[in-house]
Amino acid sequence: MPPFSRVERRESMAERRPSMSYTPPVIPHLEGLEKPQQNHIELDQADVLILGTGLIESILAAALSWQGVQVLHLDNKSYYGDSASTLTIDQLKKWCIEVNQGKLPNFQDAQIYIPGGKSTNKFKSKDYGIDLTPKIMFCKSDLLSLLIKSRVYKYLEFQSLSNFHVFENDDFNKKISNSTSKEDIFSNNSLSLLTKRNLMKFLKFILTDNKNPEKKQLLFENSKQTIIDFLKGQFNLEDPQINELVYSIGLCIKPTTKTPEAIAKIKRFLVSFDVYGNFPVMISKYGGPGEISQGFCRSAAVAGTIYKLNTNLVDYDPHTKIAQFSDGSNIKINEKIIISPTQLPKFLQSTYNELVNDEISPLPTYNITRLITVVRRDCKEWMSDQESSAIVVFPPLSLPTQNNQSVQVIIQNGGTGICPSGQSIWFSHTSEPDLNRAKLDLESAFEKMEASLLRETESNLEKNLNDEDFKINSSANIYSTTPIMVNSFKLGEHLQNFVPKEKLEIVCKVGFVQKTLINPDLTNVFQASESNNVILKSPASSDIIFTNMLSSELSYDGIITETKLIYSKITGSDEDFFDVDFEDEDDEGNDDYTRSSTTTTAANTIANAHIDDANLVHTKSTTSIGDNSNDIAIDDDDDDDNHEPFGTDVDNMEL
Amino acid sequence: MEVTSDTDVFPFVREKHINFIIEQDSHRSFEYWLTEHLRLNGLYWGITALVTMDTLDSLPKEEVMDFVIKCWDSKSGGFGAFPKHDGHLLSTLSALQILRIYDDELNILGNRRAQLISFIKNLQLKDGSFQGDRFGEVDTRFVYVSLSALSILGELTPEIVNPAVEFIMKCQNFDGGFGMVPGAESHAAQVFTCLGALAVADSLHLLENDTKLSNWLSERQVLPTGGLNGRPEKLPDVCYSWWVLSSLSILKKTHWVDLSKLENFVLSCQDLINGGISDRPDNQTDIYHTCFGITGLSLINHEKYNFKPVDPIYCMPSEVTKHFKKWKN
Amino acid sequence: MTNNDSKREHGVKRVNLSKEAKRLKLERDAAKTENYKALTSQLFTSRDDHQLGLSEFNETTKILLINPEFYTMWNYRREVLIELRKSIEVEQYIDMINRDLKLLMDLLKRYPKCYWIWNHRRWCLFELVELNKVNWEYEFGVVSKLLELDARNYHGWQYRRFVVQNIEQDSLKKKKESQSETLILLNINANEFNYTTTKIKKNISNFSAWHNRSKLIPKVFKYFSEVSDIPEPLQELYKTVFQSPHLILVHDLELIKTGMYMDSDDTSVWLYLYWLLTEEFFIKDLTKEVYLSILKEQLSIIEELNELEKDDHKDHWDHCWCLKSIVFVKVLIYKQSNEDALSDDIKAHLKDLIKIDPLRKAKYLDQLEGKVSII
Repeated sequence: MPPFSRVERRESMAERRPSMSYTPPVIPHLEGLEKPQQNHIELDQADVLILGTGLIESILAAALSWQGVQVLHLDNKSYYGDSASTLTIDQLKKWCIEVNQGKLPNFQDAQIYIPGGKSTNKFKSKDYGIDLTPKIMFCKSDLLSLLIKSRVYKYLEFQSLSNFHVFENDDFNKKISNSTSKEDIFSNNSLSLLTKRNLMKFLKFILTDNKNPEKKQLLFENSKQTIIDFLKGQFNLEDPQINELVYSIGLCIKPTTKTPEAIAKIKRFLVSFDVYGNFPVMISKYGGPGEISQGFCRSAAVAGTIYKLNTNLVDYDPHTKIAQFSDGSNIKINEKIIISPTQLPKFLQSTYNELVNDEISPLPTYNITRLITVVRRDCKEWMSDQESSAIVVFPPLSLPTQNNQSVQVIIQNGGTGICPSGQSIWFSHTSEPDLNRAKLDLESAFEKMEASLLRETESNLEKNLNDEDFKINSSANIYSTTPIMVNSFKLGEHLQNFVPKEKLEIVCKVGFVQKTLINPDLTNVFQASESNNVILKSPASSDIIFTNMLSSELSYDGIITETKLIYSKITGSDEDFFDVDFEDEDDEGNDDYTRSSTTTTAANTIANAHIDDANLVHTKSTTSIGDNSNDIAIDDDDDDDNHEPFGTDVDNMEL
Repeated sequence: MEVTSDTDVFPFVREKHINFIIEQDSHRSFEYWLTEHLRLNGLYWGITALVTMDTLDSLPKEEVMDFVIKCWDSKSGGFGAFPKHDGHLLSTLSALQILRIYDDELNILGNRRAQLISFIKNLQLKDGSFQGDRFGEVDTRFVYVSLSALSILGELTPEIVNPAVEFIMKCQNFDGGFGMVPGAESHAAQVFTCLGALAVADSLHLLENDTKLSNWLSERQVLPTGGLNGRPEKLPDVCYSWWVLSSLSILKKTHWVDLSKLENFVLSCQDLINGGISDRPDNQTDIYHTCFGITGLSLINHEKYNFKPVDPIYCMPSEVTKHFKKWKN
Repeated sequence: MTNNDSKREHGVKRVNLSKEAKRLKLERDAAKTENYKALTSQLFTSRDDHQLGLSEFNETTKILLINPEFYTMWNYRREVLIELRKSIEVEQYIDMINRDLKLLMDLLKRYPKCYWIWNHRRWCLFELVELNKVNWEYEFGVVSKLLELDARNYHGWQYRRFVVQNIEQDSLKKKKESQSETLILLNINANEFNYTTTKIKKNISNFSAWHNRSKLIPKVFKYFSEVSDIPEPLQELYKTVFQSPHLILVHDLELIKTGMYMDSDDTSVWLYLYWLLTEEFFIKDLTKEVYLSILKEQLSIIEELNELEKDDHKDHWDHCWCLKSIVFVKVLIYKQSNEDALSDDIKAHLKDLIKIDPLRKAKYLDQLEGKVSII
């Protein structure tokens, strides 16, 4: 009998440390994960108390403790991650019950469906790691930069994601990268010269420095214009290109999205392309925000943060600054208490309610409805070779339910380590405010995906393919005369008349609704003010700062901005946010003496994934950032003025 | 395309640059030790920047000359980049340039002189090209370096010059530019070495009416910064304000670029706090870009900065090079 | 003065370390610095003592991994290798050189612009050539991979040409009597030509690829015309491109047209167009009429594009590169017709260019005054 009761939990990335050649000198221990929790918190005072080990709170804990702030980080759950957690199926079952018992604020309407009995639907709960809020990471993004700078990436493993599918006119279109790379535009015979020119003009416009006066002017003039009208009016683009640009490249959710917001989103995709290779997005293996939260907790632990799970704040006296916990401990908190909405202590409930719903500027609540389905298919059809995930987007009005907003789906199969191989998990969500509509939209999207998948595998390949699908691959060398199948899986056929004979085998299906005070367009993050964001709303005189539930945003955008808002509120400014030289640690256990010119490009070393000296093999699916043994110093140019749209190739050759 | 007016024109921070240069040798960081193989070149870059700013005295002459002589590699008969390092054409030219700036007669060379001449001459290959040292790297840079060094020594002969010129001309491309070897893509720095070599060899007539080359050079200036790049569709970099502008100067076409925009670009690459110049604004400064930024400014307008004029062929003060015995074909 | 250093600060953001941070860094670096200095002085001592053994070889590995720019240590390493070659088994020596190639590959990935690394790689390969153990195909794979990472690496392209040259020589050396030399060369160079097409399609701004293409076209054409029986896999390329200089010209003009439409600001496309329209190799194959009609067609394509560009410009200005190219093509047409190149319309264009391309104002003035020829 172990000295402590370990809750069912999958190993985290940092514990597994499987394939990477680099082992960090210290993998920090976390209370409750590797070592038994102490009965009492052995600390007489702390500078900052953080309740909740969600993504933002964990980054905050690391940021503060690396600046020498004594942080006490608690969670009232038995696992890390809070509402950004990665759970097994059994954990998820319990979670759903708790949601429906009202024990998990800001979550509601949880349903879990596990078909069949133990004989027909066999699975091991621990084989699954299901994110409550799955997210994708753009290759050029502030979170990724921070992961590299803080060395937290070393606790994680990333994989590339290059396939984005759009569903329209009852069709799955081919992957969108078809019109985002120069190569595709150049070689695509279905585009007229004029369309090629218009597309290129727009792509160049997007990548122009935002400070460029002409660009500024044009965006200013069109700030109230919808992106759809802007693309039609200014760039003469046609519907197919517009849909791709807006809904899949830009991941916008509404046709009414304003031009500046959509432009920023489209740019985010384009600048992320070719940073590490021929893909814009990465996905963290074994789980997303949950894994990343844990990574930052580990970093915080190295810097001295004290952790304890299963612990609540019971009371706090603002005069004596003494906090009381459910384990009986009493601790003086010198500065601030940060509280996540799921960890709100009873005695603060009314304070919180008053803050959120005051008369002058009550904060609106937004709904995120999620449907997560584990299916017994690997869905390779939707993925590139050697990749294990894909995105499917259902633009507004593309579903029979006449959906008002996009339904966005992340598909990850066993290759990402979140489920057994041969299976995959479909994470779908929508921000549709009407919950009944939202659920119908998600079900409808699910049916379309199911039908598409079944039709493909059921139908006879040869009947469905025509000569066009067999082409001599022109890029292959000239000696090769063997026809290579270009299109092994036809996603582009109408689904209308298709009636599947079989049903898709489902392991588990989970639906729930999450509430958040963050607008889906993130305006109250990027333009946060005292009247629109709860973080800034709490009075400066108060010792307590409330944080937000994660937003519906598919990417990690806004996460760092939000964390910095809290950080500034505590320390007065975010200037020293992670202003730490982590180089020391980097040198240990590594005979590589990186010098300044290569350290800035540590991120680039992900390009490793694409080169293997001895065998000259092609892209490996797993990418590891900053593995110095294979460092490739291709100079990255971060200068927006001169950003080269389709690569980061900068000439440094001189005599 | 519009040219927006330049709102920020930076002052030239002369004193800070001088400090930056003379303090080079006091940085004892790890990186400093890693650059021994460039020390003599670094010294040349520093001295050239100082002499151009008319403050050669900022460095102690005797110590500098002593150091150069310590870099002599008696085994090869050339100069290495640092004491005990092997002789190489690149460091040899730097050594000669430094010594020549201090001493017209190069008396300090003594009996090393003869060895030096044969070291250089022996590196010429059958096709007229030069290798950098006995290990065989061939590049138009070495042709320039050899011709320039032999010219400083007053030792050019037709046997050396003629095949070298022939080799250089094989390196010209359809766009008018020159590459590192025949067949290689045009590159602004290689254009300088080839033009410089032709100029030293008194063979510029071979490029008479070569509008293509001047065109190619003038197209190296790009907006919005007004800086110069080294190849088409590349980013601008301060060092090309030397490589391109000196080439245009040799062709008497510096006015084919907008000099005042270029000047502002170079000035914007200064570190106004610590001195020194970088490749692009806000990047890390170094002695190399500091030198070529300053010599570039001298070509643009030496009077304005009270600089000494720089000879575009030798990248040395014109008052020094005017004493060179001109080699005539 | 023309020294190189791949590690010199290029594209690295300026950091202003505080005094304290500088001190800390020095402190932190102290051990590394001591280690490096000790290693350096130890190596110089053993070199002075003419030590040329395996342990010296390994010590040079250590120091070159820290600083691959330390050319004297590459020299020492080669001296050691040359000495070892005399005393160890050939197989062992080959193995050492192959391991060096592996080490160099790792270094190149980190310092793709370091001359000394490329230089030592060449030296190693020639050691293997002497022992008849070189694998040029592998080198070909290496350089293809490096150009995938940085499609414009100047060294990379140069190295590719070097490897191809050696593959040519090697294939000719190994050829069976029945095989045709020209066919071997044709295969190799046609493959290189296709490679430039791929690279250009990937990114039309890759001038390195356009450059190489210009060098390959006359070669490949020559081999095609000398081969009696064009093998099946090459027939498509022959039929669609290489039948005649005229067809090559037409084919590449089509490529350029797409390029122009895709990005009219891309200078590499225009430079290549100028080459196509002036290169003797193409022109000598054409009658004056055909040449003129090609020029006129190009002129109208560019003028059409210029109109589109003008529509997009807020003041309805001509497009800079379109106008430059209109001038270029018109001058070619006038020359063909023995007309004065400095006609009124050219003068008007040059005046417009002064307005839209003010950086090169003085050049256009020189041209207007007839001080220099326009092309």
